[in-house]
Amino acid sequence: MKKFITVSVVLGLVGVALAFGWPYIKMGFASSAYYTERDKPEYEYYTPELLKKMPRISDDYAFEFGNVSGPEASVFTVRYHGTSETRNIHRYLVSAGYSPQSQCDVEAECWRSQDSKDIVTVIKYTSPDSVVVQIYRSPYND
Amino acid sequence: MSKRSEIIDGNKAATEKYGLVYTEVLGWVDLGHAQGTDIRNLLSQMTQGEASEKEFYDVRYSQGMAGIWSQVRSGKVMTWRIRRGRPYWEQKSIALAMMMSMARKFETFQGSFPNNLVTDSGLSGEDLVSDLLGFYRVVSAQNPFGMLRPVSKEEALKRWDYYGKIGSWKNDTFQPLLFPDPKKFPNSRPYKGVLPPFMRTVVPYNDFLSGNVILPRHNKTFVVLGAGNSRMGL
Repeated sequence: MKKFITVSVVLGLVGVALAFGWPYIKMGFASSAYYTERDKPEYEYYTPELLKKMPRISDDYAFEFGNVSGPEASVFTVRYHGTSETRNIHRYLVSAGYSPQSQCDVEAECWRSQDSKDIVTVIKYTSPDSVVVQIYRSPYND
Repeated sequence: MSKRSEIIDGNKAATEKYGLVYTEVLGWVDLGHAQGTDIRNLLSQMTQGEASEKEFYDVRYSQGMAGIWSQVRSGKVMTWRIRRGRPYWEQKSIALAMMMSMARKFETFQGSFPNNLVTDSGLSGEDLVSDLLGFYRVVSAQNPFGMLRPVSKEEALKRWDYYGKIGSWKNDTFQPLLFPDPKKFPNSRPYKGVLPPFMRTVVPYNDFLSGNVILPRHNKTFVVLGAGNSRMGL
């Protein structure tokens, strides 16, 4: 009887832990996520500090997370709609220790810092106007 | 595992590092797979090896998957031993052979238990051809999208909705899998296309009897816990 109660309690606790932890486990293995700052669990879980502090150059913005398997990488994105003004973003990146690179492997501006292997890209689109800041994190980055 | 929400407009293919685009030449392209960062790393290991004094040097290549802020990583890793003195064209050919053999192994690994519980990505129609595009973006055409004819987001969504999710269309080759426009060609099915000429210029290395490239006896599977360890394959 005692054994039965112990087993039940242990199973119950595992069940409760799984029930509370499940959303986080699910977020942890997701291949991608699309969210705004109002989606608190996703915002806190996925968003790197650099993007949390990125100047909000438009009121209309949203975040994305992508997990690449194979040629392993994580890609963190903030997308601002209705603007193509990147001055504040440049200013912020400089203050965070990033500097513009002369070469970039995509058709965008690449920024790098000595403190991290991350590659930050700033993309400007016109018609319709939008600005995208993307952090590319990969164990293959030099 | 590609999802419908990851589809982006084809005119963003050359600028973004994540997302799914449909191209008329290669079919679906997963931009995350097509960055070539892995290839750049591999070629730079060879450059270092060639600059050393050793007769042989080792190069390591891995493919993996990560979860929970990279706290859990698993995948496949292999090390090839190379005799110093390989010209650049041969280095590219060795890198291509390594990537091609590893990509197949990794996709099979991903499609097997228990990884198939969390992903349907194993040999998904777009994975291998996107890996190959990543290779050519490093060795020859940095922005190849003008030649690949990416379509608009609406056109791409039309194909996704008609043919169903691409994870269910398996492709264990490096050939493109093309999905004809359902409006123009009703009742058609996906078919294998032909790689464009710029993606056929390097031949994967196969002169293993020369003794210049020595393959390992075992390929390793790795599982790593802890984000502090970002080393590849360890």
